[in-house]
Amino acid sequence: MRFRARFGVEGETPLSGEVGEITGLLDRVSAGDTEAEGRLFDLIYRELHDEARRQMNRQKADHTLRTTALVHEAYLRLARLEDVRWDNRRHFLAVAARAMRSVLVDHARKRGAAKRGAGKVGRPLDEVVLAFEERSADLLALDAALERLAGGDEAAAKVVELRFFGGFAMSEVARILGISLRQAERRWSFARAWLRKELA
Amino acid sequence: MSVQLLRRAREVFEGALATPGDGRDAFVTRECGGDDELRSEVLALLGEHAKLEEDPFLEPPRTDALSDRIRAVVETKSPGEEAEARQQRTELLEGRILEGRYRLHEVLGRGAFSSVFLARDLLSGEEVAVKLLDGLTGEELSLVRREVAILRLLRLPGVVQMLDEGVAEGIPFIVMERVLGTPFGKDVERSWERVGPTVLSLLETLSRIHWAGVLHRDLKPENVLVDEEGRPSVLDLGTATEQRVRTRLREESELTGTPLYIAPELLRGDPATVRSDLYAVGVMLYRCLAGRPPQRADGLAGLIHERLRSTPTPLGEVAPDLPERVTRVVDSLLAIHPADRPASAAEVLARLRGEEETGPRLPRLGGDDGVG
Repeated sequence: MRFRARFGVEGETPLSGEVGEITGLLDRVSAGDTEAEGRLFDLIYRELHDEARRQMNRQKADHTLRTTALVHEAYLRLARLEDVRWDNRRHFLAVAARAMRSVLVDHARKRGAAKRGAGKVGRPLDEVVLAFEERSADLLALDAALERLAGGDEAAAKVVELRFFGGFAMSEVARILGISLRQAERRWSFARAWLRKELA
Repeated sequence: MSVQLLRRAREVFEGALATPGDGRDAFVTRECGGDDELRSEVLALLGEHAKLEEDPFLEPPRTDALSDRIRAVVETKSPGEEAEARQQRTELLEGRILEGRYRLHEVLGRGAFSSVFLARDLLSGEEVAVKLLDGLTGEELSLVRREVAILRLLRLPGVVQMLDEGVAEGIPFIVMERVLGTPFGKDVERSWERVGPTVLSLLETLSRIHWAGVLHRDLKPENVLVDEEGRPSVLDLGTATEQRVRTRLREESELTGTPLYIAPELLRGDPATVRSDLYAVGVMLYRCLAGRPPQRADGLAGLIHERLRSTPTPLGEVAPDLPERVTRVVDSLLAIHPADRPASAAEVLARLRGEEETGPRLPRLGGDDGVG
């Protein structure tokens, strides 16, 4: 696959068996199959989790983890880019952003539990959670606030998920959600102000 | 907070942001009517919004170069997808009449961001070629169009004339003379006797183009059509904008073509000059006379590496039967450093004709130092 060669992803073992599965799952997700979406989510979740750990182990000195790179690399590994229609890719990226959010929030939750007990400290994903919390608030609080936001304005919550957890540019967020850039930017302004107020 | 309140607050908040600063308060008061809860919610949100301008709250971290490149790939439609979409678009256009004047017949060719149709000009009754710039977007389009409008005024013998330009179905198009011929160097045996007259004629044309203050920027065999009598016609004068777009396409998407004719300095990012056009002529001549390209490399990276670092095997060694003045000129056109190449098409002409290094008199073409 030429993108692999080009971006030096070559050599890392793809999840055999699952790679081929993705395309089929995406077709089903596009058709509105929620079970397929669940399965896809699990696959991406695991891949992001593993990839984040790999990256953090590799670059101990550099604590900033590039989410976009992470999501995209997981994507490149899981899906054969060339074979995927935009409609399917859109779903994939949306699910990937959601999975990224879960990876981080779940880890933040576990970390909280470990602190209270006598758990291990300094696990690789801790750094990632910290890097995210630098630019937000406590991830658990943010997650809960996002749920409340989604209750009233699902699109606004999606924009945050894609932009903050997925690391996508505004133009990509708009494309993934199928709305105009202006609409996406307005939603983003509102969501930020609302969440900031909510978390204050 | 109730769902209802949140929704209303968002509407008023977004409306307020779209209202110029001094009208905002009045807007919010008007929209909220007597609903004080809504009004205080919106004002609080606007207050947060103002504070957030300089705040990295929830902003994704700056991405590194790698993720930008990956993003470019993710953003780019896959080549198959792109081709399919364009195929559909062009099929829709077949048989259409553009601006009440040009009836499109079949597709003659497709480039990275354009399709060329055979068409009939219903006004003159003549066959023309219509190039639809269907692979560009937004600002790129208007820039290209503006430059094309200027190039249309250029009338030079040996250069395919642009006749008209316009927009149809939102797609800009350029109308050009229809030229029959085969790409330069095709079906030509490696003899200077056969190809020489065409080359001299091509250089005369190139000299006129440069003299007019225009660079071609995309010389390659497909853009030099040779008729049965060996007369070349140069087409597709590249606009500066088009060229930039092309480069962008090359960098971002999977490389759209082999940059076989691109001068080394352009690969490094330097601007195009007369001498980079001449380099392209050098590659065309070498390829035609030696029967193989000056550099052989696997893939693009290899080619760039070769091109920036080593000069090709001298043409005289590959094709010993050629006149020495010809092989020496071709070798000089392929110099890595632009300064080591001939300065103008006119100079190349003189040397190929065997006239010694040009004095003040350039062969019937004037000079062409006007560009580059």
